[in-house]
Amino acid sequence: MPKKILIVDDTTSVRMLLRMILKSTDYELAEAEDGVGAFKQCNSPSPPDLVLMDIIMPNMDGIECCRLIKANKKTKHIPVIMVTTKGEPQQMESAYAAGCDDYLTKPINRIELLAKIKAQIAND
Amino acid sequence: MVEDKKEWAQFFKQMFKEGEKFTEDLLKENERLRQRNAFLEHELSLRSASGRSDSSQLLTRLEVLEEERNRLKEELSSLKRRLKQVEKENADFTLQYLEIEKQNSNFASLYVASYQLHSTIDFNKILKVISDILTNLIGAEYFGIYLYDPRSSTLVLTSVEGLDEPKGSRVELRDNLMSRVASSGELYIDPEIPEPGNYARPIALQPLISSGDLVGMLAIHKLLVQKEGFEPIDMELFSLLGAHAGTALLAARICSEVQAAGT
Repeated sequence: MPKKILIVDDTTSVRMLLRMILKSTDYELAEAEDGVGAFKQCNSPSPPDLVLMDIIMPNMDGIECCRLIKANKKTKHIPVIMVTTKGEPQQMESAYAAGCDDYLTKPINRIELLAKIKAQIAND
Repeated sequence: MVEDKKEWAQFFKQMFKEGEKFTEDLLKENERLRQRNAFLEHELSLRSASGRSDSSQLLTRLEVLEEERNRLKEELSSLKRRLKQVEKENADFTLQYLEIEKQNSNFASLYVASYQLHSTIDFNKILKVISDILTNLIGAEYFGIYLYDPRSSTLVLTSVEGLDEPKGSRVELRDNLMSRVASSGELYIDPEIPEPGNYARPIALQPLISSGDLVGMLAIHKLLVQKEGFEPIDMELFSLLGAHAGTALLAARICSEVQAAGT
């Protein structure tokens, strides 16, 4: 059964780009436009095996969503990779403090993204 | 006297007998020693021959081993050469793979940018798409999207990110950098790296052209902190924006004007 990746970003272009990058892989893909939708999918009967999460989003940002995922017994095992324009050290610190497993800055580097996903899913 | 003679005769007879026996013993011993000598000489000759044969065999074996060693040495150096070749081929394949992956990534970015620019005729949505492309695909942090107003020959700041200039501010197109870039119709990249904190001067300007006419201009003032500089894909994206974003904005503006006139 293919591993499921949840793409969380409020920008259509980014979701589309991530879909295009991951299309060539065997992963099953799902999407959410904000943290609320992402947390809901993580608690669904078929939760993702990994979450690619933007930080700045409406309704619930990526940091808050990551904190909730990692605080929940049912979802804390799901690896979360932050995919964001924010490359400042303090942003990274906040993301890691919220429990994220890895961090990737935009513009997205395809090879780096695939390597980070593989590392997280292989570790799982 | 006779008695004495008999005794002497007896004595000599006894002595000759013992002498005879002694001689016989000597002859026997001599024969034994001769035989022993012959045996030892035979043994010696045999051993000597055998020794010569062993040495010869060892020498032959040594030569075989030497040949084997040389053959293995050649094989080893041949394998080492092959290994180096395979390593080089491997490195070449890795570079090719990385290049292909990069090209795939670039095509994906260009496809997404092109697709999104033509996905709507809503003016504000197109502005949002251009902003998203500049931020997420090019990696710009501070930038402005200007539209050309032909009546006043000015560029009007229509969308802004990170800069202090308010929306609606105008730049006159007369004897300045933006004017020169607008006239050239070509992408401008500042060759000098600006000092940190000084973002007043744009580091890149891309005129937006439709059917040869100026529609607007993109002005990048600062890149994201993790972005060290522009890359070849950014030039492609600028080129795509220059050719398509202007047309998309113009079409959306005309469409909204037609809709407004119709209502």
